[in-house]
Amino acid sequence: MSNLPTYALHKMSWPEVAEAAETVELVLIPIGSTEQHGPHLGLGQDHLIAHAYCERAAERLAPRLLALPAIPWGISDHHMNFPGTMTLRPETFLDLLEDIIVSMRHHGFRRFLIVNGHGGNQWLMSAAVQDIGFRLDIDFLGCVGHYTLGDDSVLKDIAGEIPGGHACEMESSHDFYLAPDLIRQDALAPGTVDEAFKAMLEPLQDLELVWPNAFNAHAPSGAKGDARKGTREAGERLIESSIDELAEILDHLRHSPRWNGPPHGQVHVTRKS
Amino acid sequence: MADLPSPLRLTHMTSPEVARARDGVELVMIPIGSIEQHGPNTSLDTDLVICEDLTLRLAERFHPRLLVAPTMPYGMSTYHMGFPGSITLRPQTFLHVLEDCLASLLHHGFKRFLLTNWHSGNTSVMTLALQSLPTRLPLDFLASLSLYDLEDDDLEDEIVKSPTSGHACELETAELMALRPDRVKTDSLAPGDLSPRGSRLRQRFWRRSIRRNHDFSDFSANGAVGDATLATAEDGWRMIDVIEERADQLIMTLLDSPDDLLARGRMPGWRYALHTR
Repeated sequence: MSNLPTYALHKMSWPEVAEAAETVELVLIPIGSTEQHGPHLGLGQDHLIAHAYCERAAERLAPRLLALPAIPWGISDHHMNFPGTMTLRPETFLDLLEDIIVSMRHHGFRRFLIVNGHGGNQWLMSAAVQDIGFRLDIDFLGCVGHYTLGDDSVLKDIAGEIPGGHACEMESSHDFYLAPDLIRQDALAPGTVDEAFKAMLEPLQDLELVWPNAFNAHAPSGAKGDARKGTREAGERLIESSIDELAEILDHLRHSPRWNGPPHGQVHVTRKS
Repeated sequence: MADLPSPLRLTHMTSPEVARARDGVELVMIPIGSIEQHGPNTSLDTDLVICEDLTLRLAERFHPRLLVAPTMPYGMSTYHMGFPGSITLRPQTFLHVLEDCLASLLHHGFKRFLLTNWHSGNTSVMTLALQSLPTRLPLDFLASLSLYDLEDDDLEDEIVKSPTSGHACELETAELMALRPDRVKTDSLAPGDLSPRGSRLRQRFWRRSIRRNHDFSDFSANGAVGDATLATAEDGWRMIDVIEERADQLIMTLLDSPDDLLARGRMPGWRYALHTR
């Protein structure tokens, strides 16, 4: 059992943070959402799992990673027809990310990885990297969906006939492993798809139209996929293999341009604070 | 009374012409451009002019059902800022400008909009617009189409001799030779000067959906990828023909889509309903 410290900011004292600054290579910023997850998973799914993932990564790769608290809201407008969903404007989310990064930059941390648990955030975080990553005096800003890394072949074994995607096998597996309290065992049910809507949508998407649409139009119960088929073993495989790949990526990044500076600093835009 | 000009191009129309055209217009297209380095090979407005020209040609084929709004001249091109002349907007700026354009056109009775695009760096901020602007504006439909997505992979394999592609490359230069030869610097065409380490990393990250704050100069010393010296206008036209055929199919499918399904799928207009800012 390693006695290397797991750095998760919300549990640390300030002297511990000062000590962490000596060995931490990358600060993880978990992001997710507060949004409907069908009748069977809690609204906090995406940000709670992203945070648990980052804490686990900080434990396995101690003392090189520092996990920040999660931002609990994301871009969830497409779920707003379901009670309880909350959403941020892109401007708000970008400003929030910037304030978090500059705070930690002030204390000497220069490399940041946004770790995302909600697919709807991918464009926001990509824009954040392109913008914040160039305006601030930092060395590295990256972003990745934790669920895009690692070995997902286990999902092929457990996936039902309806294609997965939301409040699905993958998400219930994550919960069985990391956050069983989020599951409503008695309400687990497969999602249904509105076939008429799907029949209209698919030809347009095949012809490369990008059209974010209301989630309830596509999946009336709020779920897509079959969460009943999730298992703890699958969750463990998904999460741990993802962290394996994260470790590999970290090794690559150490040799990448500008990992140790100089920062780009080429786009100077004055902002009114 | 004179016929309406074809294509319906807002910047070149009078206000009375817009009033006359309005009832027949089913979709307003807004080309999204960018001003960014394209190596020694082509002009800074390469992505802008390709997008604009393809959009205008599309409007002409569907006249008078499509109206083309003014081109957004700037996009997100931060990772090209290592090269002189590139201009980039903050995401918030882009969103605010687009919101004001849409609000203006909505005020005049236009309700359905399609953003067209040729710069992959714009897709993030465009999708942010698609996710958030319908929540604040009483529009009926807002979507986007990056026209390079309609390129055919098999035809590209046939045409392109370069081992790499993606920016100021062989295919893009060929397409520009076809549409706007004056923007191609035929005396200065050069292959991309790729750093081996940089391109290996880029490949890995693109495959795994990781984005980072790289600068394009970290991958290519001259800003180009692939070998533009091999480009021909003839090859460019071959690919443009495919793009245009598919774009026509998409527009026809879209214009024929049932109104009630499009309405049901519309992003919730919840902020507009509350009148919050």
